[in-house]
Amino acid sequence: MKMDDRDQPNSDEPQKLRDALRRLEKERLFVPGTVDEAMVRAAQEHFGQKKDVEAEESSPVPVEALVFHSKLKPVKIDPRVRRWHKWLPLAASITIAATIFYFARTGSALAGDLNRDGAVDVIDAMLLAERVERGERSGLSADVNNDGRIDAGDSEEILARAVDLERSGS
Amino acid sequence: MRFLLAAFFLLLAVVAPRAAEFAVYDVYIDSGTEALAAYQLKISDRRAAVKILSVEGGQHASFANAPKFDEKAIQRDVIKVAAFSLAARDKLPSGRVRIASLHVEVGPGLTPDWNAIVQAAGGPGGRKISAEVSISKRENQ
Repeated sequence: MKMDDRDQPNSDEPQKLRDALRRLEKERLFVPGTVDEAMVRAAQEHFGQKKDVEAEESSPVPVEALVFHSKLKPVKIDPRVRRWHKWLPLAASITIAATIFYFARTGSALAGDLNRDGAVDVIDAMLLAERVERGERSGLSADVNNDGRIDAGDSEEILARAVDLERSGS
Repeated sequence: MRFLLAAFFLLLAVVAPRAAEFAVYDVYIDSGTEALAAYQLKISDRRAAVKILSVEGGQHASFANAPKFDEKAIQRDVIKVAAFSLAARDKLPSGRVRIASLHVEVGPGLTPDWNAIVQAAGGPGGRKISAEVSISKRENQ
């Protein structure tokens, strides 16, 4: 049979069937809302969601809403994005590790620890006083008293912290 | 009668509360042959027999001023003192030198048991040096 001939009536088909199919095409089927509701309920029972249906009965939800949910389509993820997804855990791990490393480094560099021996003591105060006296204030991150400038006051502050009885390690 | 009086006064001398003693304890640092430019000490009394009243400077010109200390140490038996000098190497002390003195009140009948630790000692330029600390009571006040 040719493709163009497919709409042509086939003489082999029974006449009754042909008539029935023609009627079906002409008639519009009306499916009442109760049928939809029954189908949804049956489907939910079938998938073990009877409890949800009972809950819905106690707080009725419009059938339209259920139909709407049933029509939700799965979200399609762009393949290009999906390619990046597998790198996300690695990127997150690197970010976390870098953050921990950064804070560990900055934490170990105590404010006023000029000789980087891990302790803020009288020697740091002396080193700072010497540098301030020589006018070497650039490159020093020793504004210990946070007054916006590096001067003898910072050296005094370091000394005060060194002898503070309530500081840890004293 | 005389015997009774003597016994009474003897008993009084033993039982009567003794007054607290005021004393000065000199703090020495021995840096050997190294010039001492900075020190930081922690001094405490293991017996808690003293109350620190004030701190005095040392004998050497570079450390003649009273060292830095925490005001909270006053009336307590523990203190941290620290000082530095920016003087030239030949103006700095070496060997055993008195760097500070502690004026204390000693509890009646008690003798302090000092525990002194050198937390930091430095030479010119901030170089760390080793030093020993000792404390002795000043007798001729």
